Amino acid sequence: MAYAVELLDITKKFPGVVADDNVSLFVEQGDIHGLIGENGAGKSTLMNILYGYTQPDSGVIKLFGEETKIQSPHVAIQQGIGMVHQHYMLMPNLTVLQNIILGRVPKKGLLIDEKAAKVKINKIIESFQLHIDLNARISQLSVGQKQRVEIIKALYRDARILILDEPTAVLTPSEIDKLILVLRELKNQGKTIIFITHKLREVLAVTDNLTVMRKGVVTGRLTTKETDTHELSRLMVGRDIDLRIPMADYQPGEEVIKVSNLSVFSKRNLQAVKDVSFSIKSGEIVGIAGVEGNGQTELIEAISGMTRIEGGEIQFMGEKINKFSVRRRREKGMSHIPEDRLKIGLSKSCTIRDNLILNWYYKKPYCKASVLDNGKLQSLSEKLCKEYQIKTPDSRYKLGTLSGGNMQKVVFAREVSSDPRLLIAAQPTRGVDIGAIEYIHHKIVELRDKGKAIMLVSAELDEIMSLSDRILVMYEGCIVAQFRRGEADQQTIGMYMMGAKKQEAGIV
Amino acid sequence: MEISFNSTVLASMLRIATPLTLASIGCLLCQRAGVVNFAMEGFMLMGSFVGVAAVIFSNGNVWVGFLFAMLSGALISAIFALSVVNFKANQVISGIAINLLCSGATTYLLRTIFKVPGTIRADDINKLETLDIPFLDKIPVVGEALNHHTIITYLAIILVMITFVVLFKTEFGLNIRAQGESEDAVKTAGINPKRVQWNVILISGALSGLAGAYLSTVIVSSFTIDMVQGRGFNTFTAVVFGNAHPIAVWLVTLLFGYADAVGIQIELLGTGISPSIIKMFPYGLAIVALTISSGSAMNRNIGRPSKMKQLVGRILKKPVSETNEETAK
Amino acid sequence: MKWYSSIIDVCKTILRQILLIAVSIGLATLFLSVSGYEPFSILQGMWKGVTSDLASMVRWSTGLILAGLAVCVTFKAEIWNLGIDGQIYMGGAAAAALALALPEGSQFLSVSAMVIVGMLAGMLYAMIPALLKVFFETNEVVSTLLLNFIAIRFVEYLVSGPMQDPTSITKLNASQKLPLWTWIPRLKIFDPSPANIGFYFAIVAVIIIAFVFYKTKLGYEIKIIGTNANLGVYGGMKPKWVTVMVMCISGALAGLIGVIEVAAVQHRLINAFNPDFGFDGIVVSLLANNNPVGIILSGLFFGNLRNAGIAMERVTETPSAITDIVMAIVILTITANFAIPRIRNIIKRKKMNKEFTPNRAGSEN
Repeated sequence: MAYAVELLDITKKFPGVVADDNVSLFVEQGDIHGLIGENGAGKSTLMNILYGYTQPDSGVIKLFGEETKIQSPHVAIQQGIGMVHQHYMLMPNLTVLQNIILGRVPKKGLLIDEKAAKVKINKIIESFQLHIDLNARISQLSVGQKQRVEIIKALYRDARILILDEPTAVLTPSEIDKLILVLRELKNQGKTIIFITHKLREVLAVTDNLTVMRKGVVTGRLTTKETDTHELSRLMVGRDIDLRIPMADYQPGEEVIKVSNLSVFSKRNLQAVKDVSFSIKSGEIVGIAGVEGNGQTELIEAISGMTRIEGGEIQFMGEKINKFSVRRRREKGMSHIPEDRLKIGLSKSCTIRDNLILNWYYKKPYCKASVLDNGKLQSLSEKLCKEYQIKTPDSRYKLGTLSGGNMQKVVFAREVSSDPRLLIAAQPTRGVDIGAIEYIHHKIVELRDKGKAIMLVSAELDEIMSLSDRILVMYEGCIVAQFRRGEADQQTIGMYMMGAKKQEAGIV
Repeated sequence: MEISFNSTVLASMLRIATPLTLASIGCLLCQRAGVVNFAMEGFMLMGSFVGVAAVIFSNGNVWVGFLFAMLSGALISAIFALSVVNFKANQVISGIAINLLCSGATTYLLRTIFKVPGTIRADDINKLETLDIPFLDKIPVVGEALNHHTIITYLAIILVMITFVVLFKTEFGLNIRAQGESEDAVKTAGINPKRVQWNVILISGALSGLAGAYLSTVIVSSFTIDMVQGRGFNTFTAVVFGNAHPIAVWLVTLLFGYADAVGIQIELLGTGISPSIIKMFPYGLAIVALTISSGSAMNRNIGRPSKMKQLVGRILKKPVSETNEETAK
Repeated sequence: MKWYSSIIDVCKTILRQILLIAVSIGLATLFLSVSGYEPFSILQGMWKGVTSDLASMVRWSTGLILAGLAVCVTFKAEIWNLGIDGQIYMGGAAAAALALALPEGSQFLSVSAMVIVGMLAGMLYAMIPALLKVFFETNEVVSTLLLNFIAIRFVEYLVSGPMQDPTSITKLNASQKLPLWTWIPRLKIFDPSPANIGFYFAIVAVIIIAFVFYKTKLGYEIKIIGTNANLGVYGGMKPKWVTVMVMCISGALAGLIGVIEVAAVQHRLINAFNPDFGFDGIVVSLLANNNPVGIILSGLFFGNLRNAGIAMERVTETPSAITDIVMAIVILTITANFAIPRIRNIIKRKKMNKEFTPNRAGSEN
């Protein structure tokens, strides 16, 4: 059995996290090999190593039986590895042809020999049915067509091994079918393909063999024919973990927020949220489960007011808030813990105090006629630091001096202390140490018991399952399932998260 | 108008536009590679000083002047490149600093080396001859206008054509354009982005230096403090206006040259319009062009059709297609 | 314990700036000695500036401090207003126009009116690029620079045309001399230097701007949006509004410079009356790390440097252009200096093998 790729005992550590822990991957020649797992499973890091973006701390890489080192993407390309990224590396204002030949330009004297390039590319196009107009500008292409360009790019460089990173994430069903045909043809002509994804449907349709990863470790090596979604889901998501936190009885009150037929477009102008409807009542935690990238970000942004709503309606405490500004929504009682705290929720170069007072600086008594009362603001920030156990000797230190967990506590303190009616908590414990995780979980439950409505969005299924009264599963912009606490186990929910199943009935 | 299009004016236009054209070639290459080059003013100033100085020291040899002007321009541009490419300093501020540096340095060197307060003259300069291309005399107006220029002017036009070919039809040009579009793509393709940026900056330094020398050895034969008088910024405007396309930029520089030429004419004729007002127009036009281009870029990024299309669509009551890739293909 | 750390921080910053200045002056001194001039003439000139020729230092610092303020207000919000020179011109032109039209009256009222009009003119002129940026995302760097040239030409047009002095025999590019009641008084102790009470305006402006930065809603919003624009949106702020406000303040300050130059120094509107305070203001602000109080020191320093150059030239025939060179080196070292931490980060990242990872939104390892 000849292997195209062997990754042996690869370990890669980043500060605070072991991305890959003695991971071994075996890909046969001519195989379409699926590498699956959730976000954070370690598969992207593994592929980064294979493609030369980063170096492993330990372990061996063998290509076609020969041990080798891959120091950079350039080296990887030379060794016959081609990668089609999730976010394309294309130049929008140049043509398809120019994008393909960049870095490997055939020349006639001093000028580019476009004819020779076209000959070689057309051969590739014909061989693999990757039809595309070479003279079109990238900006004019659809997402599926752009992906073709990326594949042709790899083949133009004589790639023998193709890595496709979440290739179906942004494709329509018909484009996916076309892609599958292309992959089959590639396989027929002896190419080896590694297919990274979290989507079970496609993986089962396309691949010959699978490797499943979870939290930096390989949890299974299977032949596709011999497995099914249940087994895969179990391997990807793991066994049930019970992180029970004592909660009061579930007695939901009035409706706090009602989302009806919501449609939101992403920054890349694709429809990210498709006709989503649900509601959250006071005194309940609704957890939205799903792998990142299935529309949760856009959903949160639409609810919090940071993005436009293309269709549908959001009602908050009975009021239609579609056109309300972010500030107005906050004043009505909405708080938001963002999923990327450093990008959106905090300013590292400002002081801790500056970060804490974000929701109050413009209100009385802290601000009168646009003048800030720094004394009162200082007392406020000291009070918050104490109450929320933020470990710092003085809130006038810069935020950058805090640990990740403490930074999250700052966000938490700020958002929760304004006594919101609805708290949107997105990935609230990401990058946070165990102690802070426990604290945050307890606080969320405390809020719920006090009668607040909480929208919990998390890629950590454990977290969702232990905290939520109701669970909604989001996949490809739609809500595909709804469960009450205890109605489903991790495997089942996992299957919906991976697109294997879809509930039929109307969901509220 | 009779005044505006006679061959004298057109010839003036070409003459005046020459240094702009030369400098703008370098600037547009930088722009294409993603480098905002504001330092042309400084490069040109340095070139004009070194040009005259070299002529004086070589007893009148213009070509020595040109050579050293280009070298000095390239040298200063190397400082700019180091700052902006290697140290990733803010491009605009660095450009401004370079301009200041050259202004100070040329004035300083002027006083130090030549012990003269404001101007040095190269009296014994072997002035560049003007060429006489025979068949041009036969073409009315345009031909006459094109004839009897120095070789530098013709060189500028030829360089524009060469730049066009290089930018769009050679690997070198492709790499430059790629760098301006996506540094990630360039890196993945195995090309060194720093090398690409250094190349275009050095080229712009040399060409701007030559442009400066042209000012001080051909148009006049002297160097005066701050003689560049904002032409470097005009170059930048021309590049933005012409969207960094060699032909378009060249035409804009001709437009500027024309405006200057006509301005002089009007001054000579004593008509009412102040030359200051005329000099304003290029900048005003540049702002309008800039606004239009950034407005449509903004809409492109969001994926919305440009405001123009929206407006037209609403008028015609037709559905305007958004660039929604889900619906395509 | 609380006060210590911020004082230490401030000291560290000051030390760093002093080091930069020392290096640049050192280099300049080197240039001078190499070219055969008195190497210490700069330092001599600067010493004189602080001791015997305080007047000139005051005269130059007035404009530099105000310009530095105008710069720092926008730079703190990450908005690059490079059009301060143009705004100075517009302010000066407006003030001169008003001055020539005012009937005889109280100096206090006339000057106040001129100041208001001048600041308004500068503010409106700065609003143009601000609105372009807000509505069309037009790059303010280029638009403000272009507007500079338009303003210069506009003043040129005014003084050679409609506002040209009809009473002078030779046709100068200058307006009529402004009537006495519109003059901003000079500081008598410094006679005959054009140092004027504009200096006090500058100090007052510093206090006001510092107040805005540290004690008002706007100041807080500038701080937040300047360091993380996303945070501003998320917190409910309106970045576009802040952009406009900041540019207006900047333009108003620039307009004030114009008024002072016209009404106190030149006493008439002349062509190119602005000795590039705008550009110099960038250096002043950069050196003070965009801190309003620091700008006083920085402005005084550059005022002194400028003056030292001029004095140096008078006395030792050393070209004052050397001060330009010093400033240029300071700018370059500062922008590269702010980049040095970046380089350190890049080196650190290389060591941790995070060398080159493309923008992977959302996926974590």
